[in-house]
Amino acid sequence: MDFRKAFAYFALVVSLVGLTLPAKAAVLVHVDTSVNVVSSRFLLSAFSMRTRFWPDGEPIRVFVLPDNHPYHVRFTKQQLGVFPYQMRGNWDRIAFSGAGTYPEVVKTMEEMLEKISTTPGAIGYYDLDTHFQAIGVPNVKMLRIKK
Amino acid sequence: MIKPSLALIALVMSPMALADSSHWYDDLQVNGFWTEGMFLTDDNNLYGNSETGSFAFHEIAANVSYSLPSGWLLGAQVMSRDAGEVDTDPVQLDYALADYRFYDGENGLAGIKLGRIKNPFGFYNETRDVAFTRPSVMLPQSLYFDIARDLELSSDGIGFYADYDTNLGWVENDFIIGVPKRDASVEYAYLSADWPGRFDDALGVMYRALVNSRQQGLRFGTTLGYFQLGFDADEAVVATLPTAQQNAAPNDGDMKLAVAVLSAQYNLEHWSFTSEYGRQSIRWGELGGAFALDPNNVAESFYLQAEYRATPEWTWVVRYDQLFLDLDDRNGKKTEALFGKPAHTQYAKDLTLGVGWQPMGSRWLLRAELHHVKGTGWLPEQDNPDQNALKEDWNMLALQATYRF
Repeated sequence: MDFRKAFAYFALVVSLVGLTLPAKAAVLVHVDTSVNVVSSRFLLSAFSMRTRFWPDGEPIRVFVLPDNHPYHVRFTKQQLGVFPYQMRGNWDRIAFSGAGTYPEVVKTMEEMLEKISTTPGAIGYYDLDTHFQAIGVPNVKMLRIKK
Repeated sequence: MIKPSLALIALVMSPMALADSSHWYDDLQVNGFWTEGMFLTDDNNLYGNSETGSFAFHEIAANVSYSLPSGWLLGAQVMSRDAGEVDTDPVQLDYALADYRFYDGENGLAGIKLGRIKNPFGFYNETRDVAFTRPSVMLPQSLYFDIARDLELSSDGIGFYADYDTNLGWVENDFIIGVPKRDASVEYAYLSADWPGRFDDALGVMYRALVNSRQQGLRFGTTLGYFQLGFDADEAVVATLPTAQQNAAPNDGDMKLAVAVLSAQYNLEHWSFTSEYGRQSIRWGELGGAFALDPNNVAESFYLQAEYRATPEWTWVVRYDQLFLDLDDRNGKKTEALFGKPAHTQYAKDLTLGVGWQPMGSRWLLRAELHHVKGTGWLPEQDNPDQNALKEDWNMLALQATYRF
């Protein structure tokens, strides 16, 4: 097999794999948030309730779906790279040693969107695959995540 | 009470924008739990008279935290804990602190804590009384001695913390200096009895570094601590004791404790493997009496634990936990010859099998576990006044129910 043929096969496999992977989650924040891009490190630290403030000093308000919600499970694994039980463990340790607070739990995607749009400093996530209308909602913007 | 930022946001909001739903109490959180335990042993007593089945165990706590936009976080927790004859306290202040975060950024964070602070010791100590942060009904007793918990629990003082983030993961640093909690149970744990007099002054320092891999798959920790406890003997009461006890009783002097713990954890989706190894060095020769016979002592703790999360509701745990109270006397024979205490009071080897059930979406956590133990090294003397009546081989069934709110 010559090199070009091998490369073509490789490219085909990669694109097929890419097609079957679910879309990345959208990280949404309140429109007044001063940043547009954060590192994935910052994202994990914020959702873990370790980092409490945006770079401009505004308190971060974290919104999450229940631990067993399929989209919470997917977001936690794919975007944050940890398992929901690890997030729960971090929150419990922080909240019961005086080192911080729990994130606010919302029941549905619709409630998530409403909270983010009405809470300064809010951060949450949204499933673009099934709820792409999120982008039209006032006072919400998507946060870009750099590796 | 309205946050200053709220007024600012209201000013810049366009008329079309949705109403701001923030309230001052959004920054206030109240959490708590209630745990009841049942312990049944075939021999020896733990958490009350467990040989006939003891229900003398409960932990109730409630905490409040309030975060201020200025960078301060205020938090306090009250707890009532009843654990047989060891802990019959009414409500106590578990922690009460003011935490100021002076840096929060892309590379980590840093802050300072003032007040009553939980001691940063190993993986579990800060939330050791919170059932759903433990892997089992009982934490591995070799390292998290319930009998010496008061000394390990918290310190009144000042703490510094800093997280440093890199592409490979992050390091959490915690340092505290302060006055550790101490009472009669500390005397039992380290001096084997509640002697006339008390530990009247104390100072401790503790440092812990926790290294987390990028996705917390790996966690490594190092804890170093040093405590100095001054014993003030009550000579008038000592003089009334029988001669043998007068000779054994501690005099005025300092007891010094140094602890070092290495911690490691490997997390997978369904499995977590955890191990910790600790050494505790005690210098009590200064106290004289019986303590001068063995002025320095090094205790060794080790456990290896596997957790299996079969489903999000069901978790299994198996653990081997081993304690030697005196490294120079692993089989206890020297202590038996010197003090007449049974050799098996100097070690404990505990094999534990447990299961936990957390019904989906519920606030309950139910646990059951079996312990097969060889040795009585961590059994409280308060619940077992006659050490010669202790049995070396014993078994325990522990049940626990926790409700969180």
